[in-house]
Amino acid sequence: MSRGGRGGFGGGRGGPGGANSGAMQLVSFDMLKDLSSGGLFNVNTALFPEMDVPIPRKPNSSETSQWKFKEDFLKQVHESAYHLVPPPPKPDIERYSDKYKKATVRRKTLREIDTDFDFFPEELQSVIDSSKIKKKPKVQKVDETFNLDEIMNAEGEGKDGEDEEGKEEGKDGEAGSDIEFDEEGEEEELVDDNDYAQNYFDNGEDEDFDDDDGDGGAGDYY
Amino acid sequence: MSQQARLCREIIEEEFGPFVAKVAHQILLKGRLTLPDIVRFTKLTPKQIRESLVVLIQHGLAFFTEAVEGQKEQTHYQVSAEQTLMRLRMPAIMQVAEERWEEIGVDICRLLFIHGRMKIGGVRDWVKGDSKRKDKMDQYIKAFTKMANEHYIIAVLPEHSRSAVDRYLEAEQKESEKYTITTAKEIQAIKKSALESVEAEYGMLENAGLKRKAIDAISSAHKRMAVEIEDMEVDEKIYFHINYERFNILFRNNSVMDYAIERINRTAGQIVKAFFEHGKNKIRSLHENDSPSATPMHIANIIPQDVIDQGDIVLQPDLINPGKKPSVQDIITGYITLLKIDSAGFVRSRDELGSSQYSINFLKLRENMKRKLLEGLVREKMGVATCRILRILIEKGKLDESQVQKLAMLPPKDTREKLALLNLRGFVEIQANRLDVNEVPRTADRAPGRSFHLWYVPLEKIYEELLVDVYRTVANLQQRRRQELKVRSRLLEKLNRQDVKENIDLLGEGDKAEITQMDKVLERIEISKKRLDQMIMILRDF
Repeated sequence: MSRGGRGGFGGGRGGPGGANSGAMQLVSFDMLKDLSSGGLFNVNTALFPEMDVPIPRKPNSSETSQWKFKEDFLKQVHESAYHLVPPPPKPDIERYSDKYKKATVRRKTLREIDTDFDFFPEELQSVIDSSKIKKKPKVQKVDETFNLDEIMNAEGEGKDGEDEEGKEEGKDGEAGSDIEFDEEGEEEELVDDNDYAQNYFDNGEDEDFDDDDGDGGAGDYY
Repeated sequence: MSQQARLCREIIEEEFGPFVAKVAHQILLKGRLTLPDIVRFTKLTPKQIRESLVVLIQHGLAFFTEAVEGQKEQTHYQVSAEQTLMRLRMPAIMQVAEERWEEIGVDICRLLFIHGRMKIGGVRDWVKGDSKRKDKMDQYIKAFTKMANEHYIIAVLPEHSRSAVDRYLEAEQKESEKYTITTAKEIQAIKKSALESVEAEYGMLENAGLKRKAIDAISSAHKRMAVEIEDMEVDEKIYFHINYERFNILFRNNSVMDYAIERINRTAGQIVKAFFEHGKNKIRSLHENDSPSATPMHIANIIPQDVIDQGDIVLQPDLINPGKKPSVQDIITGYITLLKIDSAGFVRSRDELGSSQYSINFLKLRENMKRKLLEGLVREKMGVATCRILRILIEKGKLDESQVQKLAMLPPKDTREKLALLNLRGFVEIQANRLDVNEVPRTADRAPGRSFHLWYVPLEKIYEELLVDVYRTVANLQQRRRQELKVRSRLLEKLNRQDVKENIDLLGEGDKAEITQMDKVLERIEISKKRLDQMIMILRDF
């Protein structure tokens, strides 16, 4: 029963395509005429009065040719690099129709368009200029706050160490624009916060320990 | 929500996808934005936003201002609503291109619309890559050069991507640095010189991107020919994009011609066309009030003989020799007089330039075309009588209700009803005036008992509201189109399958019928949009 009802729903929606509006999906126009009340719904209300909607003139030849031009253009622009689409969904289960849905034409990316870089501001040039790919500075897995080895090495190697570090920092600085830098800075601050929590927050347990030890030590004297 | 912004969003979404549309919409609603602002308002990732901005700038829809050296400012972006709305006119532009340069012109226009701007080398590469058209390479180059020479496509310089207002402000800043103390007069002088310098930069672009063909000075015959033709070559390094203004001028001229044909007769339309042909090279901007002037001699030279021989004008017969056919000069002068007398004001005489100089009077024509549009609208929506009342009020100014009733020849109850209806829809307004005025009243007290009311038509306000209404309608049409496509998404998926693309017969009969139905629906929507776009042209651009 309910299965049949649901099947009716699904069939009504998917079948005839665009002919039905939202409210009339379940009922076809023939049924409407048969019912004596003139329809299941009262269509003639104050907000939606019965109107004699005028029909537009038929298109003349120049209008149809313009429509053809527009259609052509839309098809081509949808395939071009300028039509940005959402990233493809993650691969789901394999389906039979997948083999027919492959897009054989590879889109050009925005890097490959032919344009003058002078038209664009600095921050956008990385999008079109394939030589200016921003290298994200590597997320440092090493603990940033306290690395004795680095400091020891830096002091020990003297000039060489400084030069190397200087070069690395320089690369990081160039690779990012101002905004990238701000974002990186914000991320670093957040990272720092976590380190702060890790490094400096004591639950109080350690303190008790220390106290005990202190007392124990002091107690020895007693 | 701003109707114009909504319409721009729909246009961009149709062509470039939802992300670019969202970015453009936010910038249009909020004015200028920087990149972090856009991130905040649209909640898209910075990479997507950057790509969207690149697309917008490439197509000339967005401008940016970069920080001046030394100041730590971020780049601001703004979107131009006018350029976006021009894209609505794309099918009409492509049709004009087809009439003038056939399929080659259409291809070039389409390329420019898809890529925003191209070098002539880009066209060359595209033609090379396309197997069907490889052999027509020089035709393409020739067409491109011709279009550039006639200013249908125009060069893009880096300054164009940076907004004009900021340039002007910068120039002003530079100028004001020269003075230490600025009086009011000096401030004005600064503003003026800043404006001039910006326009000098901007105005040089007329022939930018073109250079004279290098001619061999030795062969004198060749040199003479080159000087006569005056065609210039296209500079290989410059990018070109469509010059909407030039196409708009063409549309406007065609519109005026059609109007003349409708009001007078076909030959009058030809005469108007001849006026435009004569002034073709001198019309630069759409906003000029007069066309370049012409004498009947010029017109006579341009019009082909068979048009004159049609003899559809009845002139004063020659007193001496009644059987003689009127001369060309007489016919032309007769038509010009007819155009001058007509209340639409097509032609007016320009006596200050010399005797018998005439030019097309755009100022009056603009008003008349707008008025015709308004009257047609009121007539369709509210009936002939109401339209009559509106016309009376437009022509006479401010009238009392009883005067309206007398002039409109309607019973008083009807006039009151119709005036109320017009007031409801915003076509007329009431002005309240005090009744007891012998001297200037001290208070603005306008109690209904003591004042009389006049009805009038606020024309400028109506035109602006009408424009917003048309924008809303076009945006609604576009939304309807999206809805129709959404409802048919399964069908569209089927159509996108690889095997169906190769062999359409794989679909059943019902599916094919649905496809034709869908095409019909989309065509109707698109054509309605195009007709509304013509209304927009009259209201806004002419």
